[in-house]
Formats: sequence, C-alpha cells, structure tokens
Amino acid sequence: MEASQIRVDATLLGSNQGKLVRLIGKVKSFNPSTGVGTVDSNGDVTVILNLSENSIQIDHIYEFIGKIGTSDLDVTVYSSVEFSENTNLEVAQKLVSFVHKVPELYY
Amino acid sequence: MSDFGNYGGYGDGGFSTDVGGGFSTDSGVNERSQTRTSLTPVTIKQINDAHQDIPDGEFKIHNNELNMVSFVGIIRKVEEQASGVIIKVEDGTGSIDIKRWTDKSGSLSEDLEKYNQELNKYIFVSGALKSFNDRKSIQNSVIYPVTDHNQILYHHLSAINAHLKAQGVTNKSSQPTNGLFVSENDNSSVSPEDLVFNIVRDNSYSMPSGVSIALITQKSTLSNAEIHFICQNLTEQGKLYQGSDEDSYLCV
Repeated sequence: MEASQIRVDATLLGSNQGKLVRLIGKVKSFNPSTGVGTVDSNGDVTVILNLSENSIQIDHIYEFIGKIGTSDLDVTVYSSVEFSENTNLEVAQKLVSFVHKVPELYY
Repeated sequence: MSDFGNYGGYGDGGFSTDVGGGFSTDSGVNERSQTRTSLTPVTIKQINDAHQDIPDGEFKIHNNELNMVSFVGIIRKVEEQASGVIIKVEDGTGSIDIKRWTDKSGSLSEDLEKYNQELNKYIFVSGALKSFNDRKSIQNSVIYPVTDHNQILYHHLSAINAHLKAQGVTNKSSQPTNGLFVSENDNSSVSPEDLVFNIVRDNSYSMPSGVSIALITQKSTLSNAEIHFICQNLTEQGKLYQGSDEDSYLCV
C-alpha cells in the first residue's frame, strides 16, 4: 500500500486507465458467486472483487482501492472499507473534483 | 529588546515615531518567529514532502508551517516494540508511522490488541510532527476511530482549504467587492420575486425614504406593472412595506 492512489469517480475512469485508484460509491448490485458488482459513483462503475477477501452488500457505501483495467473501465478491487450509511455522496463527488485541482497534496 | 534604552526619551515628553517604545516593526525582525501551535489538517503526502530549513526547525510545506498536524488514514500495520507500538497509517497519498508509548496504566499487549482491532479501518490522528534520523513520525498523538465517514471527506476538504489559504488563494476571488450578497448579480437563476426583494433589500439602507419602482425597473428586466404586482404581493407577505409614497418600498 505504499503507492499512492488517485481519487476518481465514474467520469474519471477513462483518463486513469491502468492506474491505482480510490473510489467512493454506493453498491447497486453485486453477484456473490462471480464477485462482480455495480457501484454508483457519479455514474456506474463495474467492480470485480476477490471473493475470498472482500464481500460487499447492496445499498451500502464503500471506499474501494483497486486498479482500472487497461482495455476496459472495470475496477479490480484489492481492498474495500465500508463507510457509514450517512456518508454524503455529493460531498464525496465534490472532493474528487477538488482533489484534481490541488495535485500537490495528493499525487 | 535593545530598544528599552529608548524609554529614557519619555522623560523628555517625546513620543517621536522613531523611538517606538520597543514595539517598532524593526525590532521584531531579528527575533525568532514564535512556534505556531495550531492544528493543521494535512494529507500524509504533505507530511512526507515537508522539509526543515534548519535542523530541528519548523517543518514547511507549500508556504505552510507544520507543527501540530491532523490527518485521517487507514491502519495497515501494527508493530510491537520494546517501549510501545508503531502504527503504520496510509491515506492514499502516502504512509507514515505513529509511535505510541505505552503508558503506565495499560500493558503493551492491551495496546497491541486495541490497535489490531482497528486494522484496515479509518482512524483520525492528531499530534506533533517530529523527525528523527530523517524519519518523520507523529508524537504525542491522539488517535480515535472514525465512525462517521463524512469526517474523512471533510478532513480532506479542510486540508485543501488550509492549503489554498496558505497559497494566498482567497475564497470567492471572482466576486466583486460587495460579495456578501452572492445572489445579487446572478439574475438568471433567481425568481422575479426574489430579484425585486433583493434589490429593495440591498438599497433600503441607503434610501431611507424607500426604493423607487423606477430604480427597480432600471436594475431588473421586469416591466413596471410586473414590479408593482410583485411589490404588492411581497407587502402582503410582510416582506416589504411602503416607503414615503406609494411608488417606493422598503425592507426591514
């Protein structure tokens, strides 16, 4: 976990392909048998989880750390942290946009 | 404070500006600046990038002096040492070690267990930034788990805010001088009623006899009849009241 991750939402997946990212979003769907789910983070994001290590629940909010695919926009999740239910996703989206205005603080 | 000698000048009844009574701006320059002890919200990257101009001096990053810092991060490793525990925390921008000395009341294993429970969870940390052998660490730290994760978002926003203020970027720099009333010039998104109300409110102070309909017409794109109608409505709602004549209105 030494490497830094870039904070993104659905709109920034394309410009960060192949990179390690952090993404906050609410789970819309999750298939426990395949480990593939959809997360709403200012748009839909497909996440692929390693089932032995992570499990997520629908309608809960998580922060995912993972890598965006090089040929697609799927996020392979390495680690996830559950956020409290009252987390304000609008503020989270705002934070994403501000983070990219002050890169010297983040990456 | 060599200027103290100048107090003798008071005996002559002179208060010349040169003497300054020891509080002249010149005398302050040579003194060591006082250590800033306010708590600065930061990202871990800022801590790692901070540098000291002189050994044991203040840490500096982007014009900002760091002494007491606060940050949020996830505990990734808890390590046992003879005298305490070392907690490795990372926030996506970097990682840093926090040293916790074992206090008398608790044993080392209790501390280890306590922090191991928080492994891979977010914590909030505040403490003094110190460096030893070129390795930075946080001492005298206060650590508690984050239960409301909005705190993480707000911490990052306040870190950005503190950073921008240190760069001299002030809030609403695009607003003209009278930026207190944000909606004043932004006519596009305001309803006609609010628009009229805002104009009357902003001008009431300088026009004690009432803001005339003619002025409102001038400042808005509304017609005379519309403004009459709106003003009457607003009067009925108790927001405006009649000025010195029936063509002018005031706001409380």
